[in-house]
Amino acid sequence: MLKINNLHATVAGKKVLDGLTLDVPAGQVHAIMGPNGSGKSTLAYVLAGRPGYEVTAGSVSFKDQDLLTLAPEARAQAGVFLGFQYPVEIPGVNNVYLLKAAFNAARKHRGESEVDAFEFLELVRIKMRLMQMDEAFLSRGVNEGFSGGEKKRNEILQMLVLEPALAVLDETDSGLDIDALKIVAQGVNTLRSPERSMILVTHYQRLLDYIKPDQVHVLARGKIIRSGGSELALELEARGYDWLTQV
Amino acid sequence: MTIAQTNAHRLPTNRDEHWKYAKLRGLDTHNFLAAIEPTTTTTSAVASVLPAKIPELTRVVLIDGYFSQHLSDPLPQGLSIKVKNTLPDNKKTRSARVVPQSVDYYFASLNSQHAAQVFEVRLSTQTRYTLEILCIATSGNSYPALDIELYEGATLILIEEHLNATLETFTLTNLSVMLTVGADAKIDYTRVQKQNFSAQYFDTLEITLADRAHCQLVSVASGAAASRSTVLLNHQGTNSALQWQAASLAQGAQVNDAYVRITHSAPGARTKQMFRGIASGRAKIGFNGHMQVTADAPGSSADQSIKCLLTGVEAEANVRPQLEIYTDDVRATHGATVGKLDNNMLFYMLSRGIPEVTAQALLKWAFIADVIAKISLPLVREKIQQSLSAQFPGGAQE
Repeated sequence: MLKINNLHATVAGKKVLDGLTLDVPAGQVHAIMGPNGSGKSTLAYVLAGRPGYEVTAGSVSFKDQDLLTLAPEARAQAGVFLGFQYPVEIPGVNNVYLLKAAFNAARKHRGESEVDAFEFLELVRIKMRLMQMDEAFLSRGVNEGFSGGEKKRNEILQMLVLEPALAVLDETDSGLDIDALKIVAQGVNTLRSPERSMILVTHYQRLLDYIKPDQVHVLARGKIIRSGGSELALELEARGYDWLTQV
Repeated sequence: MTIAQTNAHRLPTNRDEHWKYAKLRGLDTHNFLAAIEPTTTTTSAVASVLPAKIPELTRVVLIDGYFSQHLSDPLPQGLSIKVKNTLPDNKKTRSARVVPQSVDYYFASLNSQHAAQVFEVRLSTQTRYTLEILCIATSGNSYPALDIELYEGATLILIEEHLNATLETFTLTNLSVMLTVGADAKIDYTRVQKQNFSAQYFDTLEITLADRAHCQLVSVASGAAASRSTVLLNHQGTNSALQWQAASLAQGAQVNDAYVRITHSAPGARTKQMFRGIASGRAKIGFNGHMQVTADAPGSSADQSIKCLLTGVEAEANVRPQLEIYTDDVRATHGATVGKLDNNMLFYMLSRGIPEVTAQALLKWAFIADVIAKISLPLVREKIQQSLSAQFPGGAQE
């Protein structure tokens, strides 16, 4: 599904990713953990194609196509979804309109016909129930005035509607209370399938109590320095990162 | 008759403070002759370009400032057309009311000289009308003149739209509106200026609000090569209220300029003013919002929010918020910003697979959505959304 090879990237001229290599096969969930400033969010943004995040070397292959040559919207249409650490508020653009535009853009990309507003609303309602979100959210501006937890739920709602092939969730657990965390995890687990891969960027083990990863990687100084099973996350929780980074 | 030969005040220039950003080039040699009365051929041509009728509105059509009985609905009692040379004596004061006090009244004065007819709307006490006035410019000069008076407790919903008969023909429109809102009366006024990109458009709107009068004004200007709106409003009565919203959309090489002076002259007057401008291409938007609270207006409130968005490399916006306060008992806020599309918002939408053109259109639409939302009649609001949709491909949300 996703093959990252020797990826180097800079942000505002500063080297952040320094030879990162990662392989996420279809159907697997990988967690990326690491200390602050290690490059986790940069990796997420590079995969989504954020302007200002410059790839200086290496390659990223997604479903056997060169992801780095695609514009951000083309990456999303091809099936890459970024769950933002800080979801952006867009006053004046209502939630359901954005969702429908995104949903239909993906369908158009696949050569499918667009769905009308009524049909789309039916679909969204089902997903909203899963996320325990009130329908009133649909008519509000995108993330406008949402609490931190509501914003994160909204990110997962978008993911459930768009059903991406690869979801990169950047610290989706941050700012969530335990109940919200369970709901978000339930949303993520609903979407797990043999055709779909996920990357969970997180600081803490607690998210992994609810979403069992196939692999855990430690990212430090712009590269993966350790990989293991879910037990690695427990070890990190107990010992911190120092034992890995103080080489 | 050229401008140099008229007796009116001199033509404004860009050296005049309130006219700095208006496009005035060529006017000094323009021939401001009165408009020619439309022929039956002209009327037929206009008939074919009129927008679909909205059932709940009484339609009035003015062609180059002349009332078209043929294209208008039967006029209900209280609406009348006065041919200028037959105006009763007391109506002769209309010219006197627009004797130039400053260069800002120049175009109103010119209108009072050249308009052959004045369309009068008089709403007697406690009556209610819903009215659509379509001003169609066909060629040359056009001098629509409206005189609107609401007596005590009357309500008027007014939609005023400015269009051209053709897509290319040059026209120069000079509209003058005098609006008096009586005690406890209420006007809900939507103005749409969507002339062709060869046209030049000027308007002067003079408003007086009596005790507890309420005025809600929404203006959407997206047409004309060059346009200039002058609004001169006086809160003459106590506890009168104004909600003024405007969207100015300029593209290509368009120049849209507006000067709005709001004077609070009586206690308890309230104003909420919102201006949103989007300039793309090489377009220029000017907005000068001048609010004055006199010493006679304690307990007033004045809120002003001015925002412009530049989406073209060479686009320009010149905004000037002004609050002038001469009493201590006042609540006033103001803010003015000029900026570009927010990159974070844009990337967020791109990351959801929304094409860039659509994402930009959504953000632009969102920028003016608060203004459009103030249009109270749903059918009118939808119609305006549709008419703007070409400028916001995929962005105009219902």
